[in-house]
Amino acid sequence: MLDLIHASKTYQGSWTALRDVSFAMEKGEFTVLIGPSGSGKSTILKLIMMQERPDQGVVKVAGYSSESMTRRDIPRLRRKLGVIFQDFKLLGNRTVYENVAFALEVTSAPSGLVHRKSMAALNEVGLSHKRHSYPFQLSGGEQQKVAIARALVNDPFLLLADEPTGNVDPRGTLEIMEILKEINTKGTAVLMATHEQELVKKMPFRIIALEAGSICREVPCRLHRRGTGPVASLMARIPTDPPTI
Amino acid sequence: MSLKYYLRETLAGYRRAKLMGLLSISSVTAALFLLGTFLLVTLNFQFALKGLREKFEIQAFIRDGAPEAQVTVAGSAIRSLPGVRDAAFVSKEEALRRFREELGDRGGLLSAIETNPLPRSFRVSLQPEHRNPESMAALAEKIQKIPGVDEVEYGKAWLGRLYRVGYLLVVIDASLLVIVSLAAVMVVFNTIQLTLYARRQEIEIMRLVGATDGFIRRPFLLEGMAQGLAGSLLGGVGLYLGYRVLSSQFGMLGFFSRQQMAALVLFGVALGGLGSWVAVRRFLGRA
Ligand SMILES: Nc1ncnc2c1ncn2[C@@H]1O[C@H](COP(=O)(O)OP(=O)(O)O)[C@@H](O)[C@H]1O
Ligand SMILES: [Mg+2]
Repeated sequence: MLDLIHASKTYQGSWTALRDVSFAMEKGEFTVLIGPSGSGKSTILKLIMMQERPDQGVVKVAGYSSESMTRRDIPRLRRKLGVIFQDFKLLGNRTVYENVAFALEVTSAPSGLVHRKSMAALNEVGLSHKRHSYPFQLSGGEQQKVAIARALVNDPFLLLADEPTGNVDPRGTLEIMEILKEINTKGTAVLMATHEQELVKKMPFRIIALEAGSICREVPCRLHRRGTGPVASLMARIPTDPPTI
Repeated sequence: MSLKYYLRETLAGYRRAKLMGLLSISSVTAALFLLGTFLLVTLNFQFALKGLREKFEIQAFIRDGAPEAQVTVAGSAIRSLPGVRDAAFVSKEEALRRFREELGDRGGLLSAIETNPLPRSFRVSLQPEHRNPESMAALAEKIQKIPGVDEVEYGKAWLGRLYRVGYLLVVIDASLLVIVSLAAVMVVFNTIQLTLYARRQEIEIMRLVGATDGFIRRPFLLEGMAQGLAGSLLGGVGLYLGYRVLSSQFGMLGFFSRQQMAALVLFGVALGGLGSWVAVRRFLGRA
């Protein structure tokens, strides 16, 4: 479903943002990319969206490969992905509903379908009552929920979330995380990038830790493990040597 | 946070783009008006030239002492030259009568002359495709060599000048076409680029959610073409009004046919479309 194979990325021909990164994701998986700012998390998400191409290695998503993909394939891939960002990227001059519907309208979907799916997506994030509001009338958490609804409207198989709680207050953060988990439970894979260690400690998901463009640690999903003891004991089990590929 | 700034920036972007839209339209208007004016001058000149062409003929004067038989032979020799349609014989009396007619009221002056000084001649009319300076010069030379022919006359000097003017007009039209079109395309290009910039966030999101380049391009192409259409319609109206004013001053002039007018408007639309196409291509190309 998603496969990065020895992917490297150098910006402007000098700065190596990613160095030999390999990992795969299965259908319905929830994976967290963690690492300090500048460690290459966003770059990985950009490679998956094919917003950037790797200089070395291959990125394979949904049957498309960075090696053979043409410019015309990109929209087709993006319609199968959902993306949300730290800064929400909502259009200020459109209502909540219009922002969500926009994602379907620009794929030339029939208007009946646009309405049905947009309303369903807004329901899913619990914001259908605010559909006539404008983004500036919403809190950061609510704006991110609108962005999530917009990402869901195309029924993505993979949701990419780049620091989704970066501009959201603590309560909103919890709500956003709940929504992401719920989306994942319904079968959509989620790949979330964050630099907030605290956020991840409370979560049982697979973790890929990045440091200066390379994977330095990997913790498999702890959902099905028996140990529900304190977080500290879990963290202790994190292998510090070679990551699994 | 920076909400006020964002709203203000967006609105300013739209307002700027709207103002540029007007500039865009007026540039196409100016371009097509200028181009159309020169095309009309050319058109009317060609009209006039065509009217004159009917009169393009060569006069072959016959040597005074030439015997009747030689004149007849010369006549058929002229008629057999390629490019000659006919050669009509003009007797001394006929020539005088015509001369009197041309003088009109002052024809009485001629009574003072006792002998008729006008020579016999052939009025040589030409096939349409030979009514130009080069062919006429060549034919005149051939006619000159025919025995019995004294002198050959045709409007060499003014004919050449007329043709040079016609040629110059075409050169001006062609260069104007290039310069004025480029200018209009550049203004439309700038305008659309500004619109694209004002809506860059929207475009970024469209690309993220999987809109095709064609889908994103379409409204901007339409905008450029609409500016071209509005500009060329205004230019067309301007041309027509100018034509009416000049016509009432200087009598009947020719105007564009309906098809030519449509072609001019379509040309304006194409200019607008080209400007926006280049702008969108450039904008989508990066990123
Ligand atoms: N478009 C770009 N041009 C140049 N350098 C970039 C660009 N995008 C990211 N980088 C650099 O690549 C590195 C990784 O960036 P990024 O993937 O955004 O990290 P993260 O999301 O983990 O903070 C950083 O050092 C950043 O400065
Ligand atoms: Mg980042």
